[in-house]
Amino acid sequence: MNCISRSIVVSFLAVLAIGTSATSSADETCMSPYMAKIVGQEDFVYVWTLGREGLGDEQDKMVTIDVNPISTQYGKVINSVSVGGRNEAHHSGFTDDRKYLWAGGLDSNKIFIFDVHTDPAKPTLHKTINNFVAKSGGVVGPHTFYALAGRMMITALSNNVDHGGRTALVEYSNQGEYIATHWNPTDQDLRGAVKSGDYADGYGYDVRVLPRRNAMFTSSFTGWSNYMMDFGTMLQDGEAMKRFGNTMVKWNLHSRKPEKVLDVPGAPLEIRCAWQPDHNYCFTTTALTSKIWLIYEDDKGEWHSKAVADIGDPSKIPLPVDISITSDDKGLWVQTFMDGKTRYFDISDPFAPKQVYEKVIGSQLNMISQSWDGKRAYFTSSLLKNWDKKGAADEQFFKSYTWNGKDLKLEFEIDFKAEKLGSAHQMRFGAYGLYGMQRPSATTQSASPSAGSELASQ
Amino acid sequence: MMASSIGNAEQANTSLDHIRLAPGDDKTRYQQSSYKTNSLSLPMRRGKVAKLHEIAKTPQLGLPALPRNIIEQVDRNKIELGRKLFFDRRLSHNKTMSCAMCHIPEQGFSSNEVSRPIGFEGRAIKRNAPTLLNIAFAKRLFWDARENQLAQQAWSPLLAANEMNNVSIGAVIEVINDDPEYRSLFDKAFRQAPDMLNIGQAIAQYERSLIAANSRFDQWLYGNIGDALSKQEIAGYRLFIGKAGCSSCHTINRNDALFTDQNLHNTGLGYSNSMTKISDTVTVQLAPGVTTQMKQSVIQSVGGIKENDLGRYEVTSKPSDRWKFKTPSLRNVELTAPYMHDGSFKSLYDVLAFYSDGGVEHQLLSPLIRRLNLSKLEQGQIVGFLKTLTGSEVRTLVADGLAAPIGDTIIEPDD
Amino acid sequence: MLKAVVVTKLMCAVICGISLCGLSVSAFASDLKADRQGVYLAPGWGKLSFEAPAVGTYSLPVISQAADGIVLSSDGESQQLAELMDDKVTLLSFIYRTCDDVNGCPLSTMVLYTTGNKIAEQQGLKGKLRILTLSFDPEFDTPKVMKEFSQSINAGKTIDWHFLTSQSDQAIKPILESYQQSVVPDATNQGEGRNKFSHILRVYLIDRKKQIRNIYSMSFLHPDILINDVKTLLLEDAIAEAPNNKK
Repeated sequence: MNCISRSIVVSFLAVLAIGTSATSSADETCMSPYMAKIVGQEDFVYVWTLGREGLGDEQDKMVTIDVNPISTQYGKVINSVSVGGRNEAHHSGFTDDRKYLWAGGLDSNKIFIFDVHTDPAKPTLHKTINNFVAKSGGVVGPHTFYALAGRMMITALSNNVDHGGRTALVEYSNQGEYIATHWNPTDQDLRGAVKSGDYADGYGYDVRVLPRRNAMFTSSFTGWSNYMMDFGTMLQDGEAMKRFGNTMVKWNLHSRKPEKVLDVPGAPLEIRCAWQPDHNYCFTTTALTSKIWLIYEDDKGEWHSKAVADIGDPSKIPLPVDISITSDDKGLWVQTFMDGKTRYFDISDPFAPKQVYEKVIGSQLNMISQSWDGKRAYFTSSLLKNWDKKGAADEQFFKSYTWNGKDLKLEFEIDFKAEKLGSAHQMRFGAYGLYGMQRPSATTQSASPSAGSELASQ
Repeated sequence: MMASSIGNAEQANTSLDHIRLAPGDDKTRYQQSSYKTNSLSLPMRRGKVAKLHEIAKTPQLGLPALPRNIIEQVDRNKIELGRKLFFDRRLSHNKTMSCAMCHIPEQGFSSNEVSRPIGFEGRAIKRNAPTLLNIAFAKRLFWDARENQLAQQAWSPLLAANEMNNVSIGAVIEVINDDPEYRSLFDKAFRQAPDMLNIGQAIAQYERSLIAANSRFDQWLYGNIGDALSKQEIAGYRLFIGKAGCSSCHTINRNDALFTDQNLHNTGLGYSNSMTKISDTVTVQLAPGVTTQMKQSVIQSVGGIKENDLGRYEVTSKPSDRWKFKTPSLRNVELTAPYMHDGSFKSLYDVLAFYSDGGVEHQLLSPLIRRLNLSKLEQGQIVGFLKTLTGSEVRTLVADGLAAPIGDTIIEPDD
Repeated sequence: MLKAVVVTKLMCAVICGISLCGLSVSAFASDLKADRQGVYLAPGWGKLSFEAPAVGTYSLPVISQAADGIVLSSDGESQQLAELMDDKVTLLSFIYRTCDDVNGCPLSTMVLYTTGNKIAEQQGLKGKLRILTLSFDPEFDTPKVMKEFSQSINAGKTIDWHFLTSQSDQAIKPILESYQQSVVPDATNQGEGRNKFSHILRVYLIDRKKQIRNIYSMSFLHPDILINDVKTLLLEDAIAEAPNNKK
């Protein structure tokens, strides 16, 4: 079960909750329930950043930003580790002990494992896995890195045969050794799953689990040919537009076997499962059809998919991308790439989400990471190298906001192009406290009333 | 612990019935809301090794004899080596592209899933990936006919920045030389270390073994098997050589047929791409049965600048060569959608409609292209005929491609 | 005084509730205790909320080789950890004796006890499972302490259960690292008769080739699951040993 005792986080001084347990919210709400969680002020945000031709050193890098208001370096880039090549840097995820951050390249299929515990302010490249395709038996495009006990469950997007969307989940040990490949069900081999609707495409994208229901869910995007293609070209390529995922799969988490293929047409991307012990449901959004979908368990233990809300005007393809659920299961942040908006939906009734707030963050928008308490939200701009906007609209930023429940207030922003870094993609939080460390006094402001009051008010 | 690799497993079972001559990810009728998936399992994608050297040497009904020197050069070891190179993803700058990533065996050794394939880091390639079936008979290569030897042609995609993007010829040779298995295969095939010449020769030997004729049409016309074609298909053939005039470029001879005059023509399609104002909206499909109209301005906000394509002119700089492209063979054409040099037509019906309307009228339009006013029935009959051009042994070649080892980086553990 | 502690805690970002073992660490133990009214109990304490996958219907792929190291038996003898994994399916857990978090070490001990007993009760399975409980607090968990612990739990010796410790922190550290068993000593450990640790609860399932086949965290540490996993490995062994399967 993933719930923890809210009891343990009540204390205003509780900064971290670790566990197999774990309540949580936000970026922190979006992580594996198996993982250590930061429930107070995060010290750092690690931004997995795409290198750009003609900018800086042109290669992908893990960028560390100091986000603790008590720091003398607050709001600054304090570290950057270049990894070589443009790998189509995309998503990253911590191991369950949160000592290592695994970051993948959707193009090169390399997996970069960063040591984030020796010095959380200065991640170092610990190991590079560069035989993922060969080891997995032909899986291409490592995407989500999801912590299970002692292992990483890695979703992928493509394969080495046709660069299309049929793919698999691949399991690695925390040490970085290959364990197993779990192919997504196809019509020819449903692998014991029930095809509950019209589709069993075998595509992949994200993974989340509900351990209390022994359930694992995967979603489906598109293959290498499409996610690497120029977005404008793809939209006009009728053949390419047929190659998007229309399914989610419910798996048996313990046995790793697919059990039910659910129809969710229009490219379901990020999956966020509810946290409360009696909330047996997850959300996803479909990128192309611009809808919020609910994946829920009925009274008889059957899982279903249902479109529960539109996001903006679907005919204009706002393109919902990253989403984030609050720890109380009452709110869902939905980012839409094309109009650069973040939208907050009230999901108190999961069957009837209502948009209650929206704000334009930039000319384009992809990722959000919110703090455990929901009071801070960070945004980045990049979707995919060849899907990002062109020309002046190709803003590349990291923006830090505070949320008071009614409005987002910009605290600081970093222009990733001006800093010669690249295109900012996915974010993960770091903290000294995870490793029993203290922030070095040299980087701590001596008097920091604002920080103190913020923490005290929790 | 290694997972069984896609593609390299072989079945003792001799039946090839399970081989689907289409993408494993079937999107037929995806436009309709009633679409249902019919997807194949990748771990079950099994092939069967063929005797390619015999196929490369043996004349097939409907095709002319290959030059004697070509036949004499056919070598089993060179073909096997070329096949390994063809499927090796390590032979690109970032180890993600092989020849076979665009010339996909079950997709007619072309790419059915995109109009124009994409290359290194997703860079655009401006023309459709042509089939390699019967490429042995092509006098000139590429849509603009800029190359004349397969062994030379192989180096263009290896070095093109928007394809495999290798930094140099020497870099490719080093990658190959670093692999002991390759060293031994080169020694066996050429008694030489890999070099620029023999790498191209090996790939060319594999490509030339992909011969697929003896189609139902060949059996009917050249094999005198009267019932090999239906009445409708014969009607389509009559239109093809008669009213529709297709055979004036897609040549059929008395004793054989390449279905190409090996020449270049301007149909107006390239002209239209370069010169016609684009429409303000584009229909974009979002899901089965779901489409929307997108404004061109929105598409352009996320689209790079599309490379222009002037066809043969890019080789000769002669104004009269603008928008001329090579006549493709029509053998196995039912397997090689989408069509035309830019892959802009998703089906043969679209192609027939285009030619029936006389292409795109402009100053440089080939005089061979004229308004045909074919009825829908006639167009359908021609499409029916084109579907009789699929070689009898295509499945053998595809099955062999499915059995080919796919080269991906394997690093042995330190211990 | 109170305020000073608060500031320190703010700065060092207290680790709170790692598998709850480190929970009561804080100077505010009483507050936390008060808050723990109606505390969430791990699935292992109750009925499993889903049906454990049936024996032999799934595979447990090899995760890694189980690491070796020198440990002390409860008689104080040095032993190779790997030798204790010979010829039996093994469940290995890391604990410290004074851990009092209900969802931490007591949970794992209870689940292992139930699992061990149920396996021992079944026809033909008695003696095929070994349980290893290894302390990561050698300062206080001496062989004598572990012996007492053993007698309090497994007095009848129905289960092949070894209670182990090590010579010193230096001796246990490489073993913990090999198993990636994260253990963070609490900053307030002052040798006041007991230590406190934050650790992620983990139990390891190890086959007869000394390969780790599963790792359980709190969510999946339930006797129904462990029993079926153990039986799945035993079935795998039985199939491999069947005469017509010899290669």
